[in-house]
Amino acid sequence: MNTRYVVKRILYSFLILFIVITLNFFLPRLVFEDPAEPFLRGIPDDEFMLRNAVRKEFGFDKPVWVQFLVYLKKFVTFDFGTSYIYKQPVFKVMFDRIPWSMVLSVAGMLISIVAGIVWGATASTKRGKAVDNALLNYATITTAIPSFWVALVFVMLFAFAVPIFPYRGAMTDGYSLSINKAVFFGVAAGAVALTVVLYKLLKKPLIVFVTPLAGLIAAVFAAVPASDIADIAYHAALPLIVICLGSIVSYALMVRNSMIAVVNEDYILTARAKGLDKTRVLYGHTMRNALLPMVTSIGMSLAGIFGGSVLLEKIFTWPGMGTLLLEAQNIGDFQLAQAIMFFYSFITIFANLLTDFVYHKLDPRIKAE
Amino acid sequence: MSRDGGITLCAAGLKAMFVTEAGFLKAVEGVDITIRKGECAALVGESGCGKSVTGLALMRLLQTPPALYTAQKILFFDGERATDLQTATEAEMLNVRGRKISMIFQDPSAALNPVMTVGRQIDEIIIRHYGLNKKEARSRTVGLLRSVGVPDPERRYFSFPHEMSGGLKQRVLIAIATACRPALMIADEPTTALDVTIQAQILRLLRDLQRENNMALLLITHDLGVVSHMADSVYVMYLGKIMEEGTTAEIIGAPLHPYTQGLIKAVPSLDDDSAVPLQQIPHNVPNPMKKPSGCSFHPRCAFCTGLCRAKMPPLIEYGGGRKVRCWRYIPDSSANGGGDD
Ligand SMILES: Nc1ncnc2c1ncn2[C@@H]1O[C@H](COP(=O)(O)OP(=O)(O)OP(=O)(O)O)[C@@H](O)[C@H]1O
Ligand SMILES: [Mg+2]
Repeated sequence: MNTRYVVKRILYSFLILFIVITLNFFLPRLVFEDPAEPFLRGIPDDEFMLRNAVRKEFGFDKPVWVQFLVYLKKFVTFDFGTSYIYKQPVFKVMFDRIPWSMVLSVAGMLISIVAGIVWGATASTKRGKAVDNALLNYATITTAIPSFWVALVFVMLFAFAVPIFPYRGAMTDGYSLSINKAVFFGVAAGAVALTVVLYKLLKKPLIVFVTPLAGLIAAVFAAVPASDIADIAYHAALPLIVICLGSIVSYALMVRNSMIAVVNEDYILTARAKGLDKTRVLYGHTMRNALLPMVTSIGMSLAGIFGGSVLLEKIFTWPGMGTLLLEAQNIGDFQLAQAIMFFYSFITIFANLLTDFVYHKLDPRIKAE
Repeated sequence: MSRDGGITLCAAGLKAMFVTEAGFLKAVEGVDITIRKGECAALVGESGCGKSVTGLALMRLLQTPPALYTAQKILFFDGERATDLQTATEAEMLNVRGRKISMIFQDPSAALNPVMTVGRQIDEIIIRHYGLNKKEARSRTVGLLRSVGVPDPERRYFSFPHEMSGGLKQRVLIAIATACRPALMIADEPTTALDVTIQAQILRLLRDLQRENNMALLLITHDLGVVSHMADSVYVMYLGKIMEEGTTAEIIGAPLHPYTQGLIKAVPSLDDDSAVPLQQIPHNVPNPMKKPSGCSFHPRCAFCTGLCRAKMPPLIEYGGGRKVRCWRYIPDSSANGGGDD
């Protein structure tokens, strides 16, 4: 992969980002007769003075292209103004919520990926046996049932009928998270540095995924007191179970199917004919090829790490980005909603870019020109 | 032909079957194969006759399930020692595979791991069997690449399979298969997937390496042209059974079995009289799950009799070590059938 390709790919990502934010600007103007309408909601029609004041404040009195330039300026300067609900800078509001979404999604993803690989790999070697049949049947069931429904049922069962778990929130009421920011960012920065050094030394592309993740977890455990972690874990248990129920199977099924496809490849026969033992064939040849599709799928879900799931967070009243988006939407916090949309697009495009680079490193067949 | 050097491999009663959703498939039904030191034995037959399965079964490389296989014995002679591969443990087999017996496959594009450099794939077998470190392995690998005719081996070491042509990939696979100077190489249609010009080069390379290393070669092919260039002895296989065996001169020059005769008539270059049109054996190979009664070749045979339909002939000695499985060569059987069809 040469520098020209990297530069090209990054520029291309910016182009997509630009298209997305441009659409974001024009779509509401196509949908609503009066783009100021969401802002004027609740203001009586005859309050002309007030209505015009609102129009003026949000710049709707200016020509569209001026509005567009003002809008674009926000992205260039990263200044999305102040949240209407929270009366705080929009970015601060958002960054207070991101870690909560990450608690669920990072833990959920780690558990699902590890369990998915183990289950899928085992099922692929024991086709037609109990592990394999269980996976196939279970996959049929989970794909047929939407996860929000499972979430509702679980809340009813395990938070109300049999109250093992709390039904709402991320911490017990009255508690608040105490986090040592200096330690957190210290360890996190250390992890980033370690990633760079390890990658330079070992040249293994997976380091780009694994080291920052391990660093993040280390940072959390270093900066947050154990009692807080325990309380969060207790609150996160039920949503995590719901997340994992769905995603373990999808990872496991993917691993199983690509393992089965790879095991029948001639190059596995070549590897076995060399006299390599089972373990070497499995890790050196089968896994390396079978897990390639996983990279794309993990990369795709990277955006969800920061974004959270709107429905699940809503059901569990989890204070993450998903619930924040809903609030902003319902109350009409235009500035906040705009920033969240931008953040989602940015993360998605960035995650795709990263996945692309890692995939290129892992699969030499993809020519980067 | 080096027929004086003793035996390298002697398999008897080799059977392999597959339990599939469609049914029970007997791919190999009691095959005896003997390969002498340094000689090239060819295993020929049409597609689906069980040639590849035979090769894999000899190395115990078939996946079980779906495969099941047995043999009375698979004796492998290594110097003074004889090992029965049939009863050897998997750990013993790991030391035989790649080191004592190696294998190359039909499609070089599919037989190399696409995400590993070819150099590493050769290193791997050297490290596995000689316990060298990476650096030592690499210098050997470069030497091997050179010996199989890969140009610019220092650079090619770092190539990925997709960056090489089919011929080069097959050379890499040959490098892997000769890395430990095995006593026997099983080559399963090594040139079928290659261009005609490349085919000749690869065959010449195999032939040279075989002579240099005094290596026995089991050449699996359906190409009788290849057989006549390469092989010392020939096994003709049809639907899991050996139909005829003998030296190349005997089989090509004076085939006994109607199936062998049919195969030879279907090859243009072997037909010295160009006025005689090419003849294909009528009909296709039957589904191996529904093998015909009696002699499995009888529905396609011009000499078919009632006896052929009723009973599979035994593989009998036909003088001078050659063998054939056909009622026509079993003296008191001709009276039973006669002229029918
Ligand atoms: N893994 C398997 N599962 C089920 N059946 C198999 C398997 N491998 C081979 N067979 C069957 O065994 C029979 C013999 O196959 P084999 O590959 O040995 O034929 P072949 O003589 O090598 O033919 P070709 O010239 O096409 O390579 C075929 O009918 C094939 O369908
Ligand atoms: Mg074959």
